[in-house]
Amino acid sequence: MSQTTTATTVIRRKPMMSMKQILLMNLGFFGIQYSFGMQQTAINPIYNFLGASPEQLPLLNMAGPITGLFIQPLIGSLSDRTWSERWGRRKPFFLIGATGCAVCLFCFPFVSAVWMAALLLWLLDASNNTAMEPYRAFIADKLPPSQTAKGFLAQSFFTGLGITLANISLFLFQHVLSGMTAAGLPYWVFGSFMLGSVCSIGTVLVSVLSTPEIPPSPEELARLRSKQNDNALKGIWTAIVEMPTQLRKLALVYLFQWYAMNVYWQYVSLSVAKSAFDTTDTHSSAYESAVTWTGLINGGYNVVTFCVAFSLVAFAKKHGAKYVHSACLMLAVIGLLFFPHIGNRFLLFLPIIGLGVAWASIMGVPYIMAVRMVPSSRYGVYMGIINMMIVIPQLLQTLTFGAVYKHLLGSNPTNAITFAAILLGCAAVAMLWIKEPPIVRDVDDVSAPAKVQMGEE
Amino acid sequence: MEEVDTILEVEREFACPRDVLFRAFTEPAAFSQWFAPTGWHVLPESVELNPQLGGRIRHTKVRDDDPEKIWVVDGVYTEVFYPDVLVTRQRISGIAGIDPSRPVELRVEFTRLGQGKTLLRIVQGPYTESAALDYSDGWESILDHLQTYLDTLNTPKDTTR
Repeated sequence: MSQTTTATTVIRRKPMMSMKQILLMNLGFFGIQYSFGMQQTAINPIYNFLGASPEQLPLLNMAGPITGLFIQPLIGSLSDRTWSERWGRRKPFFLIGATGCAVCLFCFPFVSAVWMAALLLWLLDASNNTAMEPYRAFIADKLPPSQTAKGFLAQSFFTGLGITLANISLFLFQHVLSGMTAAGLPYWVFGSFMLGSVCSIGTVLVSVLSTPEIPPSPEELARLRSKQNDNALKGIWTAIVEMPTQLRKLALVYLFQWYAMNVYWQYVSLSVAKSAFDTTDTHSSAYESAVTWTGLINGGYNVVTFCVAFSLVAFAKKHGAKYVHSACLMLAVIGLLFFPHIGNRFLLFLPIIGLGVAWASIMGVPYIMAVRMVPSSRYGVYMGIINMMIVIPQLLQTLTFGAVYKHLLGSNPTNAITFAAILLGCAAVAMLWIKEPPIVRDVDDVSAPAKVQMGEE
Repeated sequence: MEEVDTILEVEREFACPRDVLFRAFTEPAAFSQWFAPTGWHVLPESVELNPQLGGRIRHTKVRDDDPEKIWVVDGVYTEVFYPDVLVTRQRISGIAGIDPSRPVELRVEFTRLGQGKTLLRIVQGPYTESAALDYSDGWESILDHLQTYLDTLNTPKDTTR
């Protein structure tokens, strides 16, 4: 990229990136999502192996919402004001976050008490968030607006792939490694977490080394330096106050869908154990088998996710994002209503297809909409705010669902999954409230003659 | 042959509210007063701006010292979010290095800054690297003319906030 500037104008020329370059740039996202995949599928079973009760799970999962709520917007704001000739703007945060992920994943299998697992989860989640927020902003930094959708979809693709491989690794290592530690953790957990540790740092290093950052012009650098003492929280608050109305409506959709997704992730292994493995004893070998089968199921819906992600975008361009997202959520509703009532473990892969399609939409479509609604110069802060829309419902779920599960749902995992389906249905309906302008993408009609024809040059 | 793979991004801060800038881009009488680089002017009667989805944007620029040299922009609005974003897809003829048969996208973003300022961000392309270089020089003076136009206004309060 080259730059030309005057005292008041910044002019940049950004070469468009090839698909290969975009994939390489986002490869680190795979490692980060592998780490998230381990967090989603393996952490709760570890809590169970260590003796935590199902009612304690929401509170033990507080780390995710709280670190996401505070760390992502702050890291985004900090990285906006960072520039180092040697390390760049976003890369220092990728490297710090990925190193933290690698260390935490490496240490996780050695925990011997619930409190140790909870502490490590906080550190792991903080590391994941530190790496992830600047990665979203990296897309806006490097790609011209016409390519940002492709960039976000590449991240969606790697989300599906990372979580899939994390879940599949849990299943495969169980068949390779047997036995357990004195604390009650099976040895196959070690294999999965060690692989996650390597993936986390390795893929981020590939991205860091293969993708140079765009240096700021002297004027931009001066502006960055002058903003270093500005109040980051005030900037976030101003962006919230000025948020476009349609983006505010998205918060309601997110309230339902992310509360529901948290319920699904926390209770799916208990549901599978009850329906397909006929056990509610979390210390039984049947439960251990149910956990690994759940890993395969979660891997299965993520396979669907990365298979359909790009085609969903084409649908969104043709029919509008809100209808596509609403329809995808309804597919998940149908699937999850059947899911907890299926006793055949192989048939569980059919209803989960609906959730896979919805997950692809959840990870891609809202970002495409947000990019259309806000100026690209504020992508960073709005990415942080969108993440707040994700973590606040998760926090709410963490604080409330323990009581809901016990008193309203009868401590029955079947009811928990049904409850998640109903909430996703609410999200699908709320999505229809968003007023999305029709999309004009066809450029062929610009060939009509100009009103004042002066001839060609 | 030089590859058409470069996107131009232009950023400048203006000490006026977003709606004033938005109107400067969407009202023909205002637009014709500034939307040309030094040495060119817009033909007021050529300006057609219909800032709604699918609406037409057309205008012709003429060289001040040589009326035979013209520059025609013809396109449609593809995104209109008052007062945040304007996007048009257009064909440009009359500029060396720019293929008139190949549409380019012009994205104009208006971001509120503190103390009544607005960040104007223009994204345009794709161009060849050399055309982008030429065009960026043009934007420099176009935005100077916009500043001059704004200086003549008694800017009203932004009612959109």
